[in-house]
Amino acid sequence: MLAPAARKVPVALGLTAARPLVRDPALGLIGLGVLLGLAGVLGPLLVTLWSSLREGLLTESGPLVLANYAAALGDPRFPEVLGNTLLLGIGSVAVMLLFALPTVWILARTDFPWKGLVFTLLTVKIAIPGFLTAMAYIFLISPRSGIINTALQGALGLSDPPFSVYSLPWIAALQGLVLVPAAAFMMLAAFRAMDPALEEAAAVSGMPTHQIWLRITMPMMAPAVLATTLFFFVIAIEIFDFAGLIGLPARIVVLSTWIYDLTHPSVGQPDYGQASALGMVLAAIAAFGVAGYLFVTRRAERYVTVTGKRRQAALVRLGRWRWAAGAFLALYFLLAFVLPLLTLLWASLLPYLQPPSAGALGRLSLESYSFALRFLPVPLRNTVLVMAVVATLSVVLSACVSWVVLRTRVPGRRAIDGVIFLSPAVPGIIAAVAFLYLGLSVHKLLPIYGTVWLILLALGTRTLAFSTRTINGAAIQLHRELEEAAQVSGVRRSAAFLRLFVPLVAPAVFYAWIWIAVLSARELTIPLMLYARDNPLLSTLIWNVQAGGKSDQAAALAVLLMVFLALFALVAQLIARRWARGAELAVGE
Amino acid sequence: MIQIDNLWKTYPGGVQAVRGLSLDVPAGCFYVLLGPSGCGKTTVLRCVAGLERPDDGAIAIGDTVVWSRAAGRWVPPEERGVGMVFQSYAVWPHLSVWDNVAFPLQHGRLRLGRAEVSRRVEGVLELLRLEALARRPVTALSGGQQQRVALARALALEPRVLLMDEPLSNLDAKLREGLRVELKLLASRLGITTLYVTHDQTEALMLGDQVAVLADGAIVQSGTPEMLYEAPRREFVASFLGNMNLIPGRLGAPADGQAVVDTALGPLQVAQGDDAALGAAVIFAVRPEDVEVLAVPALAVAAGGGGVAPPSGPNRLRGRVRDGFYLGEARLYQVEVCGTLLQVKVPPDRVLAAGEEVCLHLPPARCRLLSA
Repeated sequence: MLAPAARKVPVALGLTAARPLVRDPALGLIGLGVLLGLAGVLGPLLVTLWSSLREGLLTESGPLVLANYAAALGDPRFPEVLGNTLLLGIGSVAVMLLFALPTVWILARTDFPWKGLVFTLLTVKIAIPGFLTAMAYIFLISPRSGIINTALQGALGLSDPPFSVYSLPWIAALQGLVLVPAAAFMMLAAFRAMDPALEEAAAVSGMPTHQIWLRITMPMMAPAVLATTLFFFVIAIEIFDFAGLIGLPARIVVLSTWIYDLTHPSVGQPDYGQASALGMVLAAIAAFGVAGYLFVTRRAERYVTVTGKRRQAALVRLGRWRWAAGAFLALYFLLAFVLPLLTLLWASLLPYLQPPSAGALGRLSLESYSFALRFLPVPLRNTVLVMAVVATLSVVLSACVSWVVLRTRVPGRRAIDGVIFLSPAVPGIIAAVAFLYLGLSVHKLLPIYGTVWLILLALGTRTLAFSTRTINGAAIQLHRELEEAAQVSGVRRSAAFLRLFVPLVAPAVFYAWIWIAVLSARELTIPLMLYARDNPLLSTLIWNVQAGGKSDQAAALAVLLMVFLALFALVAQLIARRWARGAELAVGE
Repeated sequence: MIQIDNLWKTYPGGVQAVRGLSLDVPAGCFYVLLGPSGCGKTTVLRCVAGLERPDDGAIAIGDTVVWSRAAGRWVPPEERGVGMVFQSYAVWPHLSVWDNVAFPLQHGRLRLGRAEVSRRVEGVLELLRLEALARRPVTALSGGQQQRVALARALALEPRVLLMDEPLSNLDAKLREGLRVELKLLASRLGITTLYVTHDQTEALMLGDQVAVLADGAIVQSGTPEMLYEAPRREFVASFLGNMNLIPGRLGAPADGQAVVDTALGPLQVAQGDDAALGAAVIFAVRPEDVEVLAVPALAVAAGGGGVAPPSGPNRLRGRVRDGFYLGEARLYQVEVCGTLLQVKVPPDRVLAAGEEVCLHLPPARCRLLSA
């Protein structure tokens, strides 16, 4: 029965799979890029799963065991840590929505006059590392020496400090604060894409404005808001900046910091097995978030209202309320941006933390900077190397993935796209544990453990989702006939990739490159997990100096890092503007 | 020059785009595939180009089989040696006009030397009157100019066949007409075999040496434009190419050596033989511009004054004018005859009033019998 069908298979394969590579060997390189990307994204998850079921390193033989899970889940601290992790996630997204929703509404649907400034500030805010915000708030409201606490105690004669940053609500709130810009940008597209005709139809049929908001606009926007919430919930339970910097000293443990503790114990051997088991627990929580996200976005397709000709929705006239909107945004930027920046600057100029006063002004000095500058060369070199290599690796692999997914008929291309798209849901700490474990396991063959190269590999694959989405966005705008025209006129597919696809998406590639470079410099979780003491990055150096209690030097380094990132972003902006013309050409098709 | 044999193509999702289509384009012929959107015409063209892989059948270009399921043969698009012009123009926005035309010559299968590239590029740019624009970025050109660049790019390859996928439909009406004339003159001058896809019947009639009308992935009728317009065999062709009054009926006994259709309007004669059996369901068809409008009063007098007396002679019908439309080059009237509305097109100076009684004459020589 099966024989005839089976006999057809070789013919079919001969027609579809084998020959393109023989004819156009360069296609193999593109395929290799895609496989590397997939391996980098899926590999950590598999390695962590494997190591969670093992005792010892990858290269050591041994049976598969469940002992790691038993130890992790049976630990008396486990219920509390799990609860802390969930509370951190929920609290963070709640604070995030509190600020992000009104911000998006103001930007997308009102005639607020200073939108350009708000956009710039939000963009700059993304570039500022989260752990610097955490540091600044430690300086402000740590119970022992926080500037605000000291000032209030002095002014009001209080015996106890009024605030303490070392609590779960503060960790969640501060983390929520730094997620706002990214969340706002994510929701902005949906708010803008909504067809104004839907609201106008309701208005014309006599519905009052608040009813339109309640019954038309909000239900339309709900999927986008929900999807964003779930996406950032997954991020909130894994980023290390706040839980590590504030939570660890205060012994407020969440899953990610517990994993860090297990892999970097102050005494004894690291326990990779148990760390991996906890990593899988974290992955399971993230998986729920992703499942919810997928469910919501799939349902959201019913709400897709993007039509050929998009029209700007009528803007709500704020009138005098624009002062209220301005005050609201000013409050956000004060809390998330101005206050931390000024605090770091202030702290960097004083030998120890103290509230602003005439006496303090007299003690201002640049001594901490001269110390910081002596420390700077190696970490700066390493950070620049990480930024350049990670960004380049990421965009090269992403260009390959994007092209294969959008321009070929390779079976499974949609699955590839899906895997890359969802890869941020694999907690960074898991990737870190996996790369750590891999690095140790292959150390004799390839001495990569403890070097900056391990960090490069881990970060490069972590950023694939962002760069692939960016390049996909540009590539989708390009008519596929552009490449078909080349194919029909005798141009090989690999040549079309290199000479047509890549130049046409170049502005998007450049944009992705810049952002990944910035995000790599601000990344703390992976470098902290993978770094070696003699090869620090700027981020891990700041962490160490801060952990060592030298607040003025940590603050000075933080200020230098921000100056460096600002300069980098500025230069990138200038280059990007030159390219803007090219971008218009490509998208104008 | 292009032979398609029993082509089948189903898209993922189950849409059967092409269903057993065969055609043969002779060398030097301008062959037009005409049909409404979704009829599979573009799919056929893309299968010939190699941009789609058919499920079954065979395609040959010249004496090369480029696809055959039976023989397990597949030639990729890069090696088919065709030129193609796309609806979106598909000119590469980051290159100049000159580079757009030169790119396939430099980086394609031919990999020509610098001198030969220059010779060919300059040749086609001159042919399409684009020399002055050669160094301009292609995005600075108008739609019509961009499409001429696309055509120049295809012709520079000196392809065996030229494939065109609705090349004029993105242009505005005025430009479309100009480029249509240019295309026709160019094609006949170069004598290149062309397969041309369009949904525009005027374009098809004007450009095609041969036209094939497609519906649901198969050819309904093919032939010269005159044959299709004058003698459609199927209702679909009749209504797609221009407009036709279609009156269902049954084949009656021949009279005066002409076929007779029994319809709701009475027996109607057609100057056309038909081998269908007596009583078979057929459709009587006549174009609005072929219907003659006779003055009623004269007839009424001849018939003896009775307003309701039938007009004499075959294919003469009495009706009442319902609505009129002024079209510029003609007037279109809807005339009610025995409860059926007939469309009648008359010269613009022939004005009929709504409610006016008229007598219509359907000249048998201009009438058609269609199979239902």
